[in-house]
Amino acid sequence: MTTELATHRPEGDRAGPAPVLEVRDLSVGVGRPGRERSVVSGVSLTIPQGGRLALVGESGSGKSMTALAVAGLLPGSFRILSGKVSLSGRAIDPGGREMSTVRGREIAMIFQDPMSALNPVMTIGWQLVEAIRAHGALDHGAARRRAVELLEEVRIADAANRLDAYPHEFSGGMRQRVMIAMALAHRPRLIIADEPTTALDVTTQLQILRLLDDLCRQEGSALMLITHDLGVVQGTCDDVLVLYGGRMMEAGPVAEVLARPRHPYTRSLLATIPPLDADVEWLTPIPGEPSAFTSVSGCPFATRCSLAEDRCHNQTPPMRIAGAPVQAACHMLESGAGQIGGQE
Amino acid sequence: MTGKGPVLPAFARSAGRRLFDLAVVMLSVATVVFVLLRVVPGDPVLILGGLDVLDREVIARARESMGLDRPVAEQYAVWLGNMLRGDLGLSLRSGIPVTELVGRALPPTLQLGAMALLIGVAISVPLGVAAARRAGSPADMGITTFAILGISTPPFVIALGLIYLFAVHLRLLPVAGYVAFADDPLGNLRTMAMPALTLGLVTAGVLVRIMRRSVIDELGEDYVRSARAKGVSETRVVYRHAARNAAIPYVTILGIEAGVLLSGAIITETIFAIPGLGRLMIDNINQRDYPVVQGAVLVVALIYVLINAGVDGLYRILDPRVRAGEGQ
Amino acid sequence: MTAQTVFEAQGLSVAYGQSRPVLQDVSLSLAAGRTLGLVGESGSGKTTLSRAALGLLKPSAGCVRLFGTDLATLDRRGLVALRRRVQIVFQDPYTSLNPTMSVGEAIAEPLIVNGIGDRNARRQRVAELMRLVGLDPAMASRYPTEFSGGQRQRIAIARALAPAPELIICDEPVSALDVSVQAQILNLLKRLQKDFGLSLLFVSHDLSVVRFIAHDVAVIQSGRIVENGEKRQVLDHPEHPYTVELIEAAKLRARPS
Repeated sequence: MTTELATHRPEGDRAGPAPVLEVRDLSVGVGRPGRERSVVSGVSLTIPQGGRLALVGESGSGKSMTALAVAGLLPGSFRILSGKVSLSGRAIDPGGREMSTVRGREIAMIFQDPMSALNPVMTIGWQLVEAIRAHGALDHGAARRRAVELLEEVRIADAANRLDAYPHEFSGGMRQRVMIAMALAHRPRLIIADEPTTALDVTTQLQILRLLDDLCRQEGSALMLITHDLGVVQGTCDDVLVLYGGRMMEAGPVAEVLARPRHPYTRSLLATIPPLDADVEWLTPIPGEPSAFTSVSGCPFATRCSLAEDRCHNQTPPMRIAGAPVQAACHMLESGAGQIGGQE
Repeated sequence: MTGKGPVLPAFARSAGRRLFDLAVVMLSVATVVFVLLRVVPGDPVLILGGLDVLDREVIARARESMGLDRPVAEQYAVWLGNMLRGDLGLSLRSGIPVTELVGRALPPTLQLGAMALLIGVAISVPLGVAAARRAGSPADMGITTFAILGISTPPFVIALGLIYLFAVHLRLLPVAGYVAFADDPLGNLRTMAMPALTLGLVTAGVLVRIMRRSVIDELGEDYVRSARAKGVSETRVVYRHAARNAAIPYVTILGIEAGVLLSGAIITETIFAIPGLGRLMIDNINQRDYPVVQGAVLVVALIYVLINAGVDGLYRILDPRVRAGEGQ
Repeated sequence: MTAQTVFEAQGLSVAYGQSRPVLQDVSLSLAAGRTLGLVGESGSGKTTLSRAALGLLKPSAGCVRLFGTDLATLDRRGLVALRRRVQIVFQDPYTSLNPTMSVGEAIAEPLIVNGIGDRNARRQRVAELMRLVGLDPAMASRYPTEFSGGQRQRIAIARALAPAPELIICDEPVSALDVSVQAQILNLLKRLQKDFGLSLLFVSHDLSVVRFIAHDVAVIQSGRIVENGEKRQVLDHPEHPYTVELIEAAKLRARPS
């Protein structure tokens, strides 16, 4: 594997402070030990202090599994097969016991569906107080006062009177604000937001993204945003890592990747989105559908790629510089970047 | 109805509706029991008098005194009217008021049911949670095997096993019999221990399965992942989050099981010679003592209905969404 | 404007119980061979409006006309006869197909219900429909679980097409699909609409999707139509502040330019 730095900010040089998160060659599998099928394979990424990285992909891309693996929250039958994870320069074992002192304090998470992510039978206040008291030594009264402050920070009106409400009494947007408030409880160095706006109404999505953006800046937290939506990435993140079939396809600064995508997958994906401000007769779809598992060898996108050759099915292309500062994993890039992808 | 709405009227309305439901259920049960007893073949006079009562005159007089010569509709009306005044009639056999017979049989049955339920819960909650936490492990398989044994072994087999162990082999407990709690508290507990354990083990089998399944389901929910993401300890995740939510389906089955216990009590009371409602019913069905059977069944039905009301009340405590949906 | 009106709501209000009406004084029409995009957020009443177009609920005021007939004047038989001409495609292809019914049976069901054709004719029609939506007819005996999300939505579309309807209601048909699959289904729906001169009532929260597929756009907010017209008019020159807000929010998700 020649997967060196998957993503880096132009100014984020090695000389500076250790990155908040560094993942090296992460692989995740599902199934019985020894007979696992791979869902994430060879993913590496770096988020500098206060940085914002988007993990973009469709279902089966491995974006959520990558995030859950980092936080040690993989579901039952999934486990990390290989890879190294460091937080602020310190190596951690995401599956280890000490993770409960890391989660909620150094890494906080926000999930997709704010209805199911909150315990339906406990009050908002109870759940906030639990998050606050999981780390640190505040007594119950102080924790409740802190809970009110947090709700005010996420701009929930009349916060003190909302503590005793139950999740079902809140709208979707308000519940997501509560999730954000919980995530902020200990001013974590990294917030992982897994599709935080997908389940919300479009106008609410915008408010929640802006709120998340503001608060991350204010608290100096780094952000790892997981989304299927390339659009959400612009304006929220500095860097983007595009995943497909559990492997890295393309990585680089958001503006660069969206304006001049190198990888055929990123190009085709952008082309399938209908434009908002122009009329087109037909869209340019990608044939086939994403698979849930990683290919053993070869490029996972090869079966759907219009440019695929024999070697695409047999040899896994490594991530390599594809016109700095962007990297991409595609055999076609050898013969000169910028020539791949057809005209629309 | 949206919004918060007035809480008390909504509650009062639902309580009123529940009372009405209760009356309807009781009346239906009373009617069904009345009809069934009269459809089943067998004549109380012949049974009471023995087979040698062949004199038609005697039989006719006996029928008249019991009111059995009247049209069925009239018997029904009279019985219903009396019932509404709290008069369940007199035993055909002994002439003792049915309310008194039932009143005497009720405490042992209630005590047996309560003890069995308590044992069932005390076994099933820790075992169910433990199995769920280690789903698929040898410990889980052991617990599941215990549960299936509890469900599939007939109560009388469990009872005989317990008698052999505690009464015959260890000589710790009496084989059978009953002493009222008020007369001799320790003796009461000694006589009730084995019947309660019999029914408790049967109940625990079902409840362990439910608790295990529900906790496994809840552990897969998103809010559990959120709790872990907050850095909450695993023990707290399991008990304060997963088990707390698993209590909702668990209580549903607990209510049903409490009802099943009442029928299980018939066999258990017979084996251990406990003078409870189960024994009262069995004895008097054989004797075609209509008023006693009707009275006993009615009381059992009332207990069922009260258990259901209790389960509804528990839902209100356990699930805020039920409280919110009250007015609808 | 001499084209026949397929669906028309006039002063339509719908209320459940005593709560706030779900639809208030909605007037809307859809001409034959056109696609109307109905845009709104959750709770806006867009689903209720699509149910009204199926004749599934009673208006508390106003009326719903399908193919020129006021639904209130029809008896049960009349409604059933009319319903063959209106079919629906739902959002979630995972729950909208019965898992115990083979794909062929699912597509044939509307034919059986409406007494169209004999066994043989139905089998041929199912094969023809499957080819039409880009599925191999040899897969007719398989069950929905063997298909991916996009394929299932193709099955749902084939089923909707089976009784040769004139109006198809599409209730968020691509929002549960992967981005790379959405475009396939959108192209398919647009091609079917053109080829068969279908009318589509396309319910969606996604303005760029609506811009691609629809001729006209109606924006619904809290049970009221706040803006309605030809799509370029509505999307390029919005007048209502809510439409402006929706467009702003949609820019976030649209194809980066």
